[in-house]
Amino acid sequence: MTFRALTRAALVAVAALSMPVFASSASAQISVIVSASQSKNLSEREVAEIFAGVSTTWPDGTKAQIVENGDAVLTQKFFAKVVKKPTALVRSQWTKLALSGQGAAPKKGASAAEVKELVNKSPGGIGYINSSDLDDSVREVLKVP
Amino acid sequence: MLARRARMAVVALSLVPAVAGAQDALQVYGYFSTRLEKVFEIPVANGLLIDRESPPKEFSQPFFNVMMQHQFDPRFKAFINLNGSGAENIDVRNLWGEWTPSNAFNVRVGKIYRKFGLYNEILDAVPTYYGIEAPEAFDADHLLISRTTTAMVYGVVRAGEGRLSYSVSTDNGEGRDIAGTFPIGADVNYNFGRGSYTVGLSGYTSGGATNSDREVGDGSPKSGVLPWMARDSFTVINAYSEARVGSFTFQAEWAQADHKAQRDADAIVQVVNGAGINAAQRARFLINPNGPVNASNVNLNGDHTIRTWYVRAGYSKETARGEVGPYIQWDYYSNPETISSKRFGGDAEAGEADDGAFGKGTAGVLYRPVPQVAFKVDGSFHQYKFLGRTVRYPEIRIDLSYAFGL
Repeated sequence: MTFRALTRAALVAVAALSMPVFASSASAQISVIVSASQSKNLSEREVAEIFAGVSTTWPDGTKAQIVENGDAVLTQKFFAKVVKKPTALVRSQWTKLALSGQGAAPKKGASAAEVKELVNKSPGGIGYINSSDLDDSVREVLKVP
Repeated sequence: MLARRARMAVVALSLVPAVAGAQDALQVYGYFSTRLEKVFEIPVANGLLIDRESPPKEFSQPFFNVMMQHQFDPRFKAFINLNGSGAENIDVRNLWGEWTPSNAFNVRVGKIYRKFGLYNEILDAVPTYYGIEAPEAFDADHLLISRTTTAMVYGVVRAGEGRLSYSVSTDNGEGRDIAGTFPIGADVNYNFGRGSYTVGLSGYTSGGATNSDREVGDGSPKSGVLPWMARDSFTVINAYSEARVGSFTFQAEWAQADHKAQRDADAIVQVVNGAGINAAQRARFLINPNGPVNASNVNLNGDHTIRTWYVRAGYSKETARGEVGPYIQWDYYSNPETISSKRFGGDAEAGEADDGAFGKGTAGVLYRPVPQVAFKVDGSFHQYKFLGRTVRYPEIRIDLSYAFGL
């Protein structure tokens, strides 16, 4: 086997190994989650309005606490599909609400486990994770294909 | 006063770490910012000729805004916003508590930025909006109304495909002499398209005759009444709209303030003698502009109308190196009653114009290498009538801010 063939084989192997990693964020379903103790439901429009920064509360008046997922690919997909706005504009709106006192500063979970933990800490906590990370510690209010 | 504010801020800040450790519902965040401004070739009168002067650049000391927000119960929240550039210069911009029994009914009490148009509540969120300067309605040299109020009821209800928001606010009033006034501010807006479109109306009435919070010679008022008014009963109406379409943001806003006012004769004598007013202003203030400058020659009728509007557009492009956001703006402001001297409570822009009106075109770009850092550069040209001719001068601004805790 020549060096060129070896290089090609190595590249193919790396690409093949990388595929599941990228595919997990890019193609998996997304679950919008709230605290397991939270019994109220949210429609897709209400979820979109909270994440777009249009609404800073749940329909019953509970203050919303957004928990951002540290997975950048997942976040981009979530904003594009649900909020239908570029990530930078959404973040800017969150910052605007926090700096003016109109809304809570968003929290950020580095992993799905951390997102679930942060969501459970606040009565109005709401976040999003890969559906494969869903478990009984939180409740799903919306599934995004 | 300053020392007391500084002590209060230091005590409040010193409590933060201890309380933050004990209570996760307390959030502390804010930003640092610094700004460089340079104006070129401002027209100045030399008899009937126009000379040009370039004042030195203004490099502001880094200032901070620290916000603390405490959601100590699902229905109760407190917020404080401290602004300053050092221990001797700390301002409590906001300090309020809020009760939220439902989305449709919230009560906020304290020192509150009133809901008025697109910008009043978010003016301290400099890193987040396109542009560096506030719209002219909220320029600190010529405010249409005071920015803060004391008690506000607000809420939002679902209406059709969108959300209808309202607010009503009241406070002690604008000036030093507030007996018998009952000021009311109100705002109503409709937001639809999942937050993409907003149309709204804001209004304010002084609720009786008042005067300014500043005496002549004490600088620009923090309210809508000029310092040389003996009494002024006024109303403000404001219409606004915003569209966020894809990566574009478009804004338009218009406001008009109608003042039924009576000038203070002694204050006008001070202004005419000491403020370097132009011929048009002299003709407004005096019954006989060529006559003696004394109280009996002062025209006491100070009725006037202020108008301002702007259109703004921005675009957000996400790149591998951060967000890039070019923007363009046009601002217009007209106030025939004002003068140019800031010390006497006037405005250096409108007060220079023959008719109190000017326009300002701005183009700039916002760059965020990371979400916490905002770097803005823009250039403006100011345009107005001066000694019967249309004149222009340019200005550049650079603003750098860093947000923390967000």
